[in-house]
Amino acid sequence: MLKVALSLSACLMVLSWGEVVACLALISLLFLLSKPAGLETTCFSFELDYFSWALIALTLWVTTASMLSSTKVKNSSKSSALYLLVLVSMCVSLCLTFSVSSSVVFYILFETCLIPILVIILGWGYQPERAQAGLYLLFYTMFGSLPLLIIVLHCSNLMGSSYLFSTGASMTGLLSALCLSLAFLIKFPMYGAHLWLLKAHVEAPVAGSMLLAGVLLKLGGFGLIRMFYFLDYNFLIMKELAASVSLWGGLLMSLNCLRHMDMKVLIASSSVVHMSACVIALFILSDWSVKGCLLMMLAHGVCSSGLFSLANMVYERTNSRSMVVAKGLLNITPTLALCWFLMLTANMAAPPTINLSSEIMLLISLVSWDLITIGPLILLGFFSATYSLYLFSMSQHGVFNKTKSALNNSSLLELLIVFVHWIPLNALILAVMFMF
Amino acid sequence: MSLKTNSFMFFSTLNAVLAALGLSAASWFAYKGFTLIVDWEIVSMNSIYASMTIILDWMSLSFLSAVVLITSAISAYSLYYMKEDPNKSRFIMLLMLFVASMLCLIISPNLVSLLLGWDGLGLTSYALVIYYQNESACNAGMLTVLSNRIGDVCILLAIALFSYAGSWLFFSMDAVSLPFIGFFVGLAGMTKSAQVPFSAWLPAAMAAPTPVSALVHSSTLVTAGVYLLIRFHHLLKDTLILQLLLVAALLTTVMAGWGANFEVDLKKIVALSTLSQLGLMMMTLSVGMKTIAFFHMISHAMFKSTLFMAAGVMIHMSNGTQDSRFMSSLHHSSPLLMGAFSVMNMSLLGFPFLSGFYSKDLAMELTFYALPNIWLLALVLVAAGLTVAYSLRAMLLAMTSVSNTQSTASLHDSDNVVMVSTSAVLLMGLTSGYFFYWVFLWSPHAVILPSLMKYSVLVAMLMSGVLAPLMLKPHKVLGLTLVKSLIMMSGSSKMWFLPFLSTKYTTLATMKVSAASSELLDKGWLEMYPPQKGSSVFAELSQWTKKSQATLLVSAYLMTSLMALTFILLI
Repeated sequence: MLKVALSLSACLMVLSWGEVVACLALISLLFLLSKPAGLETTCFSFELDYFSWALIALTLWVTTASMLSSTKVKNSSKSSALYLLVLVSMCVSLCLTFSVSSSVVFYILFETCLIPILVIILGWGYQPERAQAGLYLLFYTMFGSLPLLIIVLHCSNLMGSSYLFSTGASMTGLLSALCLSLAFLIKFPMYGAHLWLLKAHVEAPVAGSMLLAGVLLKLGGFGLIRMFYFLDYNFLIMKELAASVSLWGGLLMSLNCLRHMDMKVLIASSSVVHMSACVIALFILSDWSVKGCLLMMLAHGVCSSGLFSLANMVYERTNSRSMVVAKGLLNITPTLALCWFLMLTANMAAPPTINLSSEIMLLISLVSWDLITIGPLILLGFFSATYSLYLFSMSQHGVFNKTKSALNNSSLLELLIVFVHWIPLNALILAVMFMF
Repeated sequence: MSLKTNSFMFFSTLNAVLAALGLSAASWFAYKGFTLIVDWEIVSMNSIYASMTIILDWMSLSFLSAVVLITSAISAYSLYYMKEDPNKSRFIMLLMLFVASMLCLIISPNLVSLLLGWDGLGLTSYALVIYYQNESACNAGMLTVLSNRIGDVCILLAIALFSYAGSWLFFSMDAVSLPFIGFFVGLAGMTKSAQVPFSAWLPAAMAAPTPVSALVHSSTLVTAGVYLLIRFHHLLKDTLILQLLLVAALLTTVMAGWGANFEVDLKKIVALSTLSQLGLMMMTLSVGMKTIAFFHMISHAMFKSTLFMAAGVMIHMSNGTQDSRFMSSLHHSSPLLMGAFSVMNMSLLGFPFLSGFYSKDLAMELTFYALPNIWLLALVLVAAGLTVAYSLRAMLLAMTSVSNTQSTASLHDSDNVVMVSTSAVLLMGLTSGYFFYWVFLWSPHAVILPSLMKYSVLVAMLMSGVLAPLMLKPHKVLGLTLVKSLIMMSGSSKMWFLPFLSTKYTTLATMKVSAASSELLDKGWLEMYPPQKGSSVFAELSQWTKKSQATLLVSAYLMTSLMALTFILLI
């Protein structure tokens, strides 16, 4: 871990796009090769298990991809070095958050990750509304994290150390469960606290959206898993409450997706739908559900980041996020349309993607938890396909507007970005066990 | 020859070779009574393991060879049909992916690895249905893929429920302990094979290019549901699910047969006839004769692909219109093609010694043998009659001697590629029933029926054969008023208003719910309460503090304290 941190800070020194991307790619390769066998201490108080290992790998991967896809900032903006600095510092803070083993330090790092994304949104966003989006982002997440700070301090006081993996569950009762999980549920975001995400996605530049959907949301899942160490398994009514709100909320979100005309909002809402399944799985807390949740987080991280970069490619061509403006792109940019189709089918969990295997794992754990979930799950599965296809058919198929006839087809870099997202989604199905 | 035309011929040859190999392998496997299962474990966790399974036995091999044979003919035929299309390579790639998904489905007796083919079929068929860039194709594609998606979700849930068994290899199981599993698998089969509540997508999928329709409706997409249920049949035996399936299948047959008699769009007539035959297969399956259902599926695949290929040429000849009222006297201009068309139609209605005769007659009589219910028997009879009626009607429409064609039609007996490809499938259509009957159905089926039942099918068929020409102008024959006949016609030609069930009202309901959720929750309570109301409340509070500092109160307080201070100091 120290090596990773050191080499990442070396990236900070260089501050040149090509070198940083190459360096990050190298780090992620080396990192993938060093999978921890169990819970391994790497250095000082950094410890890795499969959960944090997988999420760090995801962070490195998505950060690399997001740097690749923000070439427009690099070429046009004066402050491109600063942009790079923010991205790398975000990557560093995320990696540290995922690997630290002290709950208090974890809390501090968890909050630190908020700063770079806020800077990205406020600094490089597209519209004046980004101020409001930044406020939403800040206040929603801060609202949950103050109780978390109190309970984390209380916990470490009670147990005598702030070690995250201590097995003695000390907290009981609804209030402590609520305090421990609220910040992460908002981060996830669970249905009801998802408004900040939609606004942030709309206003963020492409790298911001990719990192936000790809990695930042996963902090919620990661935090929940870590905090459940502190909780007695008796969550009182919390489990049923979170499960039912997420299930029906996810369904409502998937229905809402059908009314959006803005591609980025649609993709962001689809993340809420996917994450709602993760919330339930985490609260069920069986072996299958936790592993399924991790796999879903990985799959969704890569897939939604790919979709956001595709949306950005369309935006760079048409200067609009609207699907109506993009209509008929299949006839102008057929290769990009193929990419859209592949990513969207991955989003709706078509085989052979890890999205499908994670969905199957989640379905198994949910159905074996309670048969009554079958009804909403049918609808959820159906509508999550519906909005993916709706996005494809609205934005790619049909007769195109003649003003777009001068658009160019995809460049090699864009194809590289899509395949960086598509390959892991499809290749990992053969090595699902590799992730655990 | 450019690369694009080469790719059509390449795939055609490849598939032909595969078909020859598959057929000989199937005969050998049938002769030896041999089954080969290859199981490749992919994930194994907590005593559940998911694997990629491949099964090779006479059933999968013969179906596989039928599929690739038809594909071979159709990719050659596409060379003619898609001649002037700008996106030839996209078309052939999608078509081959579609067939590949079907092959994956055929060889997989495992619910998890089955998904590869099952979902793949749904998605590639969507890409093919929306191949033409117009709104109707877009809508038809959406209807198709979403109807199929219901089946996908059902399979997913069946997988989830099946996890209790520790494996998804349903082929090697004796029974399932959760009745829900059978229900979901049955539902999946019904959506894929367009049984009654989900029938609307099948005629809508006619928006695809004709070679695709020929493939979809003969051997691939729509038969996938029947095939799944054939494979799953031993787990469904003697359950309520099969009885429900029987009723749905009979309704499908009658509905589609009735509708085909009133439809004017040529492709839709053939599509509805597919639907009625699918109902027949499901019916045979649900009374317990899976081999016979499979037999009929193969012979149906052969004659239906020929019918569609001929229909495609007919559409081209009449300047792209699909309205069968503009097609007539085609037997003068293209005798070979119309020969194929009518022979296959005769096969469809069960003319002696054509392939439909072997399979359909057997299916009907065995159903009579197994069915105890007089009402259901009556429905079977009606369905048999309707089949004859619409087959004859299609022939009459294409081959009356009165010319209704447009003034600038380019009638011809089309080029060599079409003739060769059509006659290859035609040959198989003629002989497959005979071949299949002798090679794969080892035990002879003795049907013992009272003479009344034995002849009732024949009588029904003959009667409807006589009535069919009269029904070309039904309001005159039945003596109805214009309004009444319009109501009857529209109900019949709109498939008993089934499409409304899966398009208009479902969409409306969904959009209403989502409108409510978005207005009330996302833009209502959730937006107004925590963020907006919170900020306004805090703004108001801080306004108060600010006011309290600006007003007389603060200055008066300061003044009094100052005065008090001076007063104290003075003292």
